[in-house]
Amino acid sequence: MVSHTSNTQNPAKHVRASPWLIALYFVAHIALDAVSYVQPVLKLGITPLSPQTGLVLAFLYAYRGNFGWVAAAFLVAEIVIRGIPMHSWILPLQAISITAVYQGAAWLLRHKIPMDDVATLSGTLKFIAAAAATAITAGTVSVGLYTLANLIPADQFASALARFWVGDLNGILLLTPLLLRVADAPSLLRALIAQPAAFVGILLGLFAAFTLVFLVGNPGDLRFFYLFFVPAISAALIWGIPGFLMAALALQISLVVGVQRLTEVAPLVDLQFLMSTLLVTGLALGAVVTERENSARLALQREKQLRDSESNLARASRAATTGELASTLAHELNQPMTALVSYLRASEIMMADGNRNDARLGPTLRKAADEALRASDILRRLRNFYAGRDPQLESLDLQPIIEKLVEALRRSERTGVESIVMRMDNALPAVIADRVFIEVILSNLLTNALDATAGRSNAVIEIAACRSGKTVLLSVDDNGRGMSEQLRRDLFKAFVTSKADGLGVGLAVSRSLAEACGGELRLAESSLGGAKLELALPIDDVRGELP
Amino acid sequence: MKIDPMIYLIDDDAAIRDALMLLLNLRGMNAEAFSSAEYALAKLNRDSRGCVLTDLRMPGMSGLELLAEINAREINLPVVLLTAHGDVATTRAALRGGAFDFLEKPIDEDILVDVLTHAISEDARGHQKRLQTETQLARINTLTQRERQVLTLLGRGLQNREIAIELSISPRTVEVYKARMMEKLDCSSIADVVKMSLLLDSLTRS
Repeated sequence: MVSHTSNTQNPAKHVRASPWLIALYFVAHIALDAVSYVQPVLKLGITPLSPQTGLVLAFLYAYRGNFGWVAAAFLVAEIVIRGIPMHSWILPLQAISITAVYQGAAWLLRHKIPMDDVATLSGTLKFIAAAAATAITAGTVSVGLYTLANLIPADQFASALARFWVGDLNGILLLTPLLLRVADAPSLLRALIAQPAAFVGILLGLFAAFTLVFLVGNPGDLRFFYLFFVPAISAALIWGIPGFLMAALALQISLVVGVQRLTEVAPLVDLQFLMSTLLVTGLALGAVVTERENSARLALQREKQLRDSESNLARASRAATTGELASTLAHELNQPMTALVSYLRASEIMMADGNRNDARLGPTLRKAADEALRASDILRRLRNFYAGRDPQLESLDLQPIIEKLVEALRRSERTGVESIVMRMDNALPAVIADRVFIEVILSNLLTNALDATAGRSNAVIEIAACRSGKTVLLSVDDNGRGMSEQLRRDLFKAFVTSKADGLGVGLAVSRSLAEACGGELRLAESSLGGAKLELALPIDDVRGELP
Repeated sequence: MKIDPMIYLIDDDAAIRDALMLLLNLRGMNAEAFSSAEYALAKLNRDSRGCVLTDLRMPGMSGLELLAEINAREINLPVVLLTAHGDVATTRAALRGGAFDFLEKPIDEDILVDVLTHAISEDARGHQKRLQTETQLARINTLTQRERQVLTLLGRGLQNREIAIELSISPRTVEVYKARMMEKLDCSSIADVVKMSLLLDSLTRS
């Protein structure tokens, strides 16, 4: 599968070309004209092959303000390659008018048929139509001028125009999309390598067709040309438009080489008409393939997005039903607690009796331990319930996570959110943690702080993050009502809460989540007068140690 | 026949049954454990003495349903409910349904023992009262027609003379009926007689 410039980069940037690029264009233009100067009409630039037109259109499409350079390139090519300084009045005129035609075509493509659309069938067909119109206009202007200047006999106008037209058309169809897709080359290369058998097969096919057309039998026998369709169309079917363009490029080069090998006047113009057919067919087929691939990828992306948003939704609704779940969980957790407390009290009574040899004491204590384990198991399940899975440790930047969370709180229009201030160290190193776990912990801490400061006019909640040795300390401090000595002691126990409607699992779960990330959640000394909780997370050694 | 008070412990959680049984035994209380309300009901009857200690949330019959069933069968045992994370609605339903008390898990052992002791003595007192009433009713049943009439009229506060007029008999005869009636009912004062007449009233009304 070959990826294409995504629509986010659309419309293509329309910038000025650097001097180097202009120079490169200039040289390439003249070079392309020179190598394709075969079988001209009366030593004029009317050949059945004009790859430079594709270059011109791509250049004008991608960069603005190059009219003069393009016109100059046309003129210089004419003089250098064909050496016709006479009729000096007609050459600049022809160069300028043909540049004007291509400038117009570039404008049309930019505004009506952006090249990103040449990945869909309709966009590709429009592009082909525009290319045909451009070529016929350029041909009419060019050949018309030559005819007016009596360089071409009037009766040869039609055949010269046909020759000109097919040359320009093929140049545009082949080179313009190819050049504008240069950025895609690496992904195309990967796609080619991914199917080496097909790649080799197509190369062999091209070579076989080349052999039959030019090397054996009656050289230039056009009947064999159709053999070129097999590898070219195969490339279109396998790799879409980019693959087809590569095959067509190879084919076009071999045509030029082959034709120059022929001793007789070979009908390159006829070959070029066949080439046009092949280009149109291949582009259309390739577009269908590419379009299908793109929509499949898009569907895959959508599906992934949907899955992500669904899992977010599931998490949100889990949080929403926490109240309902509270009594279920409390019941579940209270079972082992009840048994545990009873076993321990029983043990105490056995010992107080002075009857330390009570054979039941040992088993009772063991049963008590079992119940404690059962309770912690339930707590672990509770943690998994919150996070839905085992921790997935990754390198994380805390700042965006914190900002996102605070932003979400702001959007929820929870009262007191405006009192949140952030104090982050610059260049905070990345940490190793589970993103969802961190979000749950932080959201718990913020909720607690908001509850503790609720109703205060001068409420302040400070989120701070700084580096401390091998860890990053993330703290949430507030100037709320603080905590009693009792609460401070029992803070991380499950079902300990100072809230009337609280379940008392937030910090217990948060601590368990922090520990699952290899971190630590602890109570710190508040500098604002309320409560401060501090989350220590290990620094990502690989990424974090970088300056 | 005297029956020892028994704590009927019902909880679907084996560990809790085990732990509480151990604890109650160590505190010198008789207890019997059941894993479901249904099993307990099969064992309980009107002669059962002691109290029921049941979990609220259980598969099958819940603690509240057990309470209702105990009331319906006139088993007359105090029911103490155990709950995790007690909520107001359940508590109210339980108390309206006649629960003796309501304990939250995990249970403070001292409170548990205290509540259970109270429940058992409440049951004993209730049982005593019921026994007494039964005895008294049995005695009332031994009264003759005339003796009953005298009892009823005495209960209304009538004097011997007025009763004599009411029943068209001599005051002397009223004296005789009254003496015999008081003897049969084991009454030593007029206050006892009034109580008995109230009992008779409630008997005739029901």
